[in-house]
Parts: sequence; structure tokens; C-alpha cells
Amino acid sequence: VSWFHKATNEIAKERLTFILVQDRSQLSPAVIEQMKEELVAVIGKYFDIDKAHIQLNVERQEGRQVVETSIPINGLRHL
Amino acid sequence: MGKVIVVTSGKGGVGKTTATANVGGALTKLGKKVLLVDMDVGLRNPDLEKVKEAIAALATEFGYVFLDSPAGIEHGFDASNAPAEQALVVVTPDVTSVRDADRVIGLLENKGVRNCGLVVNKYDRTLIDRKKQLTSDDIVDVLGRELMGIVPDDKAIIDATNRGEILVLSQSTPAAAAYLEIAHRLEGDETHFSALSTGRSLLNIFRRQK
Repeated sequence: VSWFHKATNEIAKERLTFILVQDRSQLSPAVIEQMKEELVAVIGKYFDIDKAHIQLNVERQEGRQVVETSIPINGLRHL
Repeated sequence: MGKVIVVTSGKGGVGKTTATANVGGALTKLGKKVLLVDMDVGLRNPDLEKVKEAIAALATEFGYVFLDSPAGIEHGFDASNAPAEQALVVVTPDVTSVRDADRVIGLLENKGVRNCGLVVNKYDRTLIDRKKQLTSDDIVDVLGRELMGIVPDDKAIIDATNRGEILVLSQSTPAAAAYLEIAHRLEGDETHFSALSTGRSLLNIFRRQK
């Protein structure tokens, strides 16, 4: 991740989001990385994924935790 | 039956006790009868049921009972949460404070306290306008809780604290205005966030002097 041209508040928000995924899921960064790779392996079978921009969040919604992922795709795979 | 509200933060030094005193003070200005309880029980381990009973009994006599929870989630945290139906989580615009607030919100949720509003304290518009700090929008976005107030960083707070006064009862400064807004919001009135209004227009200065 390039933090060179980013404003401080953006970096702060990214750091916060990153740490809250760990706090809320109680998973280590290594395990979260592994989960991302497994997601990429599955979704990547059907879509051409932009791996650099995958986002993973754990959010609280109405009393329960929700895992949110955003996986941008470059295009379709013609199976 | 008055509302019982725990004021908590997760991290110390964010202005929790000052917020408790000023939100309480602001509500008395709206004509409410308010009780503030210091829940820093030290190393004592009070019987939670008895604490609940005592607070419930007191709540019949007051419009609002505020429980000033000790910093952190150790002693006194459970004692403060047990009787509360609602929480105000005080947070400052920095990563550690928001992180600790998130943990506290999770714990409150587990204890059944779902109604949990945010008070963003020590809001420094100069730093935030220069994109050096998290904005109130960032904090609300990350914590996913209702924003109850934004209290600007205001030197008058230090002065009032050193005098042993409650700012909102003794002076009309930007922070005092923000605490009054929180009181209105607790009462269900819709008000704006004066800490977010742009600059000091002449109009604002005239308004403030009224």
C-alpha cells in the first residue's frame, strides 16, 4: 500500500479499519491473509480479480457481526 | 422513571468525567433534575444486583441518572453498565481512542445495552480541516453508532476544570454550546452540530453573544 500521497486522516482510517477487523473477528493478521487468499482462489475461478484492491471488513449491524468483502473484478472468465 | 445512562470510553483521558458533568449540567439548564454518580469503585467488588436496585430507586427521583464509568473495562465497568439502559461513548478523533471505543461498544452490546450514542470530544477543526485527523464522519462510519455530539477542543474547558466549575453552567463557549446540543438530542430535539459549521461568520459571533 502506498501511503505517500495520502492525507493523514485517510491513513488513520485505513489503519483503524485494518485493526478493527482483527479486534472484531479475533483472528490474527496471518489468518485474515489466508482467508483472503482462499477467497481469491474460489472467486478467482469465476472472475478475473483485481487482487490489489480487495477489501475485508467486519461490521456490527443490529447486534450481530457482518463480514463484508469488496472484490473488484477486471473481467469475466469465459468458462 | 428517569433515564439511566452510562458514560464510558474505553480509553482514559478522553474527557469522560468532564462530559458527564457538562451533559448533566446542560440538562439542568433545560429544567431536568439530574443525578451524577461516580462509578469508580476502585478495587471493591460491589454486588451488581444491589447496585442495580439502588440506581433504579434513585432513578424514580430524577429525570436523568448518569453513571460515570471508570476508564478501561476493569473494575467498575460492569457495575456501571448493569443498571444502564443507554450509553454515551466518549471518543477523541484518534486511532487508539476509536479502537478502544469499539471494544467497549462490543461489550455493551453483549450486556444488552444497544442504545449507544457517540460523543466526539476534543474536536480540533484546524487539524481536521487540514486532513490531519479523523473526521466525525470517519468515526461514525467505523463505529456505526449514532452521533450525539461533537465537542470542539476548547481551552475554556481547562480553565473551568481548574476552577472546579462545570463549563456549561458558567460560560458560553463553543464546547458549552456543544454540550447543550447533546442535552437537546437526549431530549429528542433535533439540533445541528455547531462544531461542524464553517468558520466564524459575523452572524455566528452575534448569535453567540446573545
